[in-house]
Amino acid sequence: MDETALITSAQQGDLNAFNTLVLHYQDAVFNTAVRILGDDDKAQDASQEAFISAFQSIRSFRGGSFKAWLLRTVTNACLDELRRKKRRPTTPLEPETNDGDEVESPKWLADPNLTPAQQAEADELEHAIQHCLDALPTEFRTAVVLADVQGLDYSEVAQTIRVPLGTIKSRIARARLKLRECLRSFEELLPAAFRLDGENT
Amino acid sequence: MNRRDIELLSAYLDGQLNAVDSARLEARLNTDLELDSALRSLRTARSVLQKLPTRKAPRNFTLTRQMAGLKPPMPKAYPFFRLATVFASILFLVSFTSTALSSTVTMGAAAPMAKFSEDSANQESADMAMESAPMEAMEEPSLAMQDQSMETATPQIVITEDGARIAVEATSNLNAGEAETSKTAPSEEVTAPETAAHPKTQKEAASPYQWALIFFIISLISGITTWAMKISARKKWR
Repeated sequence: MDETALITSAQQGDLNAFNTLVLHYQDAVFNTAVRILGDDDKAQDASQEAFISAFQSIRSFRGGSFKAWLLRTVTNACLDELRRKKRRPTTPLEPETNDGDEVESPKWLADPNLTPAQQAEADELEHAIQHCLDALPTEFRTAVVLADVQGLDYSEVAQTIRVPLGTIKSRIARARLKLRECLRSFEELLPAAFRLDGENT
Repeated sequence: MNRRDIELLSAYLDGQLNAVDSARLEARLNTDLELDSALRSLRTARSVLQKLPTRKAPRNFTLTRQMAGLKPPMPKAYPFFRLATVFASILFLVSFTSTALSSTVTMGAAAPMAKFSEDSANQESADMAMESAPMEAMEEPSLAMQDQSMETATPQIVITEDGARIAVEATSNLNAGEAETSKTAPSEEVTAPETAAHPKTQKEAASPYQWALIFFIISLISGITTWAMKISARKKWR
C-alpha cells in the first residue's frame, strides 16, 4: 500500500483511496477508542465519527505520521464522548459485578484458539487491565494508551494530544505507576507470565 | 525517590534518555534498591499494556458517500439552469407584483375620473337641449340671410321661410358629395382614434402580464430541467 499516494488521492476527494486507508487503520483506531472509553458501542461510534472527521479535514494533513494524525482524531472524538458522558451520566443496561463494574459481553472477547479455561483467564486479565485503565484520569489514560497500547513514541504522543513533550513524559510515568498499583490488587488474577514479567527479570 | 525519579525511570524504559542521563541512572540503579524495584514495577505495567490483546474492529468503518458528505457530480449546464431558474423566478415576481400594483393604482384613479366625465357629459347634453331651441330659431333667419346671398348663384329658389329650407336642402343635396366626403372624413378621423385607443391601452395593460408569463414559463422550464439533471446525476452515481 502506497500510503502517500492514497493520502494525496484522498485529499483530492477520492473516497475509495480514503477507504483503503480506513481498512488499514481501523483496528488501531478502534483499539485506541475502546481502551480510552472502555465501552464497545461507544468506541465504535467514536471510531466512525473519527473517520468522518478525518475525511473532512484530510486536506489539513501536512505530512508526518498519518497514524498519529488519525489517532489524534479518534482521541478527540473519545474526549468529546467522555465530556458528554460527564455532562449526562447514564445507567448501563448491562449487569454489574459487586464492585459496580459492568460484566463484559463474552462474545467480543471470544478467541477460538483458546480453551474455555484460557479464554476465561484472558477475559479476566483484560477485564482487570481495562478496569485499571478506566480508573486513571483521562489525560493519563490517553497518554499511556497511545504510548504503550499503540506504540507511539513520545514526540508522536505529544503531537497527537498537543501537549509539551515534558508533560507527556510525566503523564506516562505517573500513569504506569498508578496502573501498577492498581494491578497489584488483581495479582492473583494475573497469569504467572504477567506476574513475573518485569519485576523478576 | 521522588516524582522526577519516576519520570526518569519511565523515560529510561522507553529509551528516551540521552547517554549521559542513562549512565547516571544506571549507576544509581546499581546502588538504590528502591529505585530498582520502581523500575521493575513500571516495566511490568508497560508489559501488561503492551501484551494486551489487540481488539479487532467489529465492523468496517469505511465511509459511504453520504457519510462523507459528498454530492454527485452535476453536468456542466447545471449551474446555468439553476441560475436561470433563480433569475426568471425573481423577474417573474417583480413583473407580476409591479403590474398588479400599477393596475390597482390605475383602477383607483380611473373610477372618479369616469364618474366626473359621465356627470359633465350629462350636464352638457342638458344644456345643449336647453340652448338648441332658441338657437334654431335664431339660426333660421341667419340661414335665410345666407340663402339670400346665395340667391344670386341660385335664382330659381324662392325666398320664403319654406323655400329657404328647400334651398338649404338643395344646396346640401348639391354639395352632398362634398359634404358627405367632408363629413365622413372627419368622422372617420374621430372614430379612428377612438377605436385605435382601446387596443393600445389593452396592449399597454397586457404587455407586463405577458412578461410575467414569459418569466414564469422560463423559470418553470429551467426549474424542471435542473430537477431532472439532479435526479439523473444521483441515479448515475448510485
